[in-house]
Amino acid sequence: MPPRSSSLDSFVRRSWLGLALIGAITAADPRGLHAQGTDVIRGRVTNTEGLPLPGVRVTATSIPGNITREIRTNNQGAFQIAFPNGTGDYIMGYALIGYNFRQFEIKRVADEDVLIADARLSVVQLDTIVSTASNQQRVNRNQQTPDVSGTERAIATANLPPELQGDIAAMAASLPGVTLIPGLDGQQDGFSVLGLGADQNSVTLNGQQIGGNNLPRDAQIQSSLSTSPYDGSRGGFSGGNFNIRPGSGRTSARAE
Amino acid sequence: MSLHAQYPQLEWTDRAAQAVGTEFTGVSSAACFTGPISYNKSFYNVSYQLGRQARDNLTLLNATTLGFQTYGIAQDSVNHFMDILRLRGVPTAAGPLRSQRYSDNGSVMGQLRLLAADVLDRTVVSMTVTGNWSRQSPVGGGATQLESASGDRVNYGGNLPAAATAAT
Repeated sequence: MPPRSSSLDSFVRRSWLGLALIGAITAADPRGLHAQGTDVIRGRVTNTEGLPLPGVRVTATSIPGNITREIRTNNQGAFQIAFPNGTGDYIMGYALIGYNFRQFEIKRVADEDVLIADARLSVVQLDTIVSTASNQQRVNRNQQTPDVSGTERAIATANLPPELQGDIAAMAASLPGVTLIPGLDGQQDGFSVLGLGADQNSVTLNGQQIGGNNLPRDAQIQSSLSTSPYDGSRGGFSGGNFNIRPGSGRTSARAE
Repeated sequence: MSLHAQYPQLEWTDRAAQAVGTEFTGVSSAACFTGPISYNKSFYNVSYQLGRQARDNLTLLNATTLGFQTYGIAQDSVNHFMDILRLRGVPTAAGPLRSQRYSDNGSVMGQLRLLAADVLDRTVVSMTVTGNWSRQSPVGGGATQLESASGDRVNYGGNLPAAATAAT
């Protein structure tokens, strides 16, 4: 039977060797020394041209513990964050409007007193923005055809031969669906809409009923023909209404 | 300002159309005068047109055989009809024979537009006058009528509407 004291000595020696080994490993790992100290993270944030960026929101999140501290850079773009009892391993985040968000990890690799976390931010490159919107048509304040029914059609006198450009019946008959009724034996011409006689039409000047079938071809007018207007105030006809709108005078005298 | 003239030489017609007096000579003048009466206060706009058309006054007395045929009438039928009138003493003309038929027309249009003195008052007073006149001498039905069957026709027309509008 071996002596009890030698076994005890062997156990004590192995224990001391283990402790010495643990001490050696602990001494070799610098994190162990700073695990209970204060980590100081410093840095300077610049743009791609090296100019300091003030007001950058800098966050440091400890990886074990998930504790986040936040600070803004000063006018020189510098910042400093202190982590009491820091772990030496952090995720750094940098955010500033107009710049790409940047994130990276810093880790204590030696016995540094201060962890350096400089960063360089690049400007956000916006994609082409295509804005589409429906074109909402509005009523033209100067619209010359107030009838919304769509039956009022403007007359282009330029489509007529010169000798007929002042003839109201010929002007009306230049539109599809309107038939010219030539005047016989010196009577004035007329026009027919929907097969009705010429006496079923009306000719108005600015909405007021007038007579006559001829106008000077050089007169500055706008003319239109409406057959079934939506406007209840326009009546007095069952065929077509030929409306004339004279133009206003000019600011300088001229002959046309 | 325009002057329009038209001559038979510029018209493309066939012999039948020429035989019934379709070709005509026409001339018309038109112009528009516009400007301010008082700068930015009152404006005028006046235009006129005067024109005349002349064509052969063809009747039963002077139309050609082709002209009668164009109307569907045989020449001997016309001769027979004229003989009957002569035997019965019916006059074929009420006056001197007119070789040309004239169609005259004139029109005028004028507008006076007055703006309010106050630039903030957007009231506009406009007065427009239109007038037209036309005359046909003689009125004719063509180669199927006698000269005595027609006379002259004169048409007059005019309007003087006025309006006041206030834009808001």
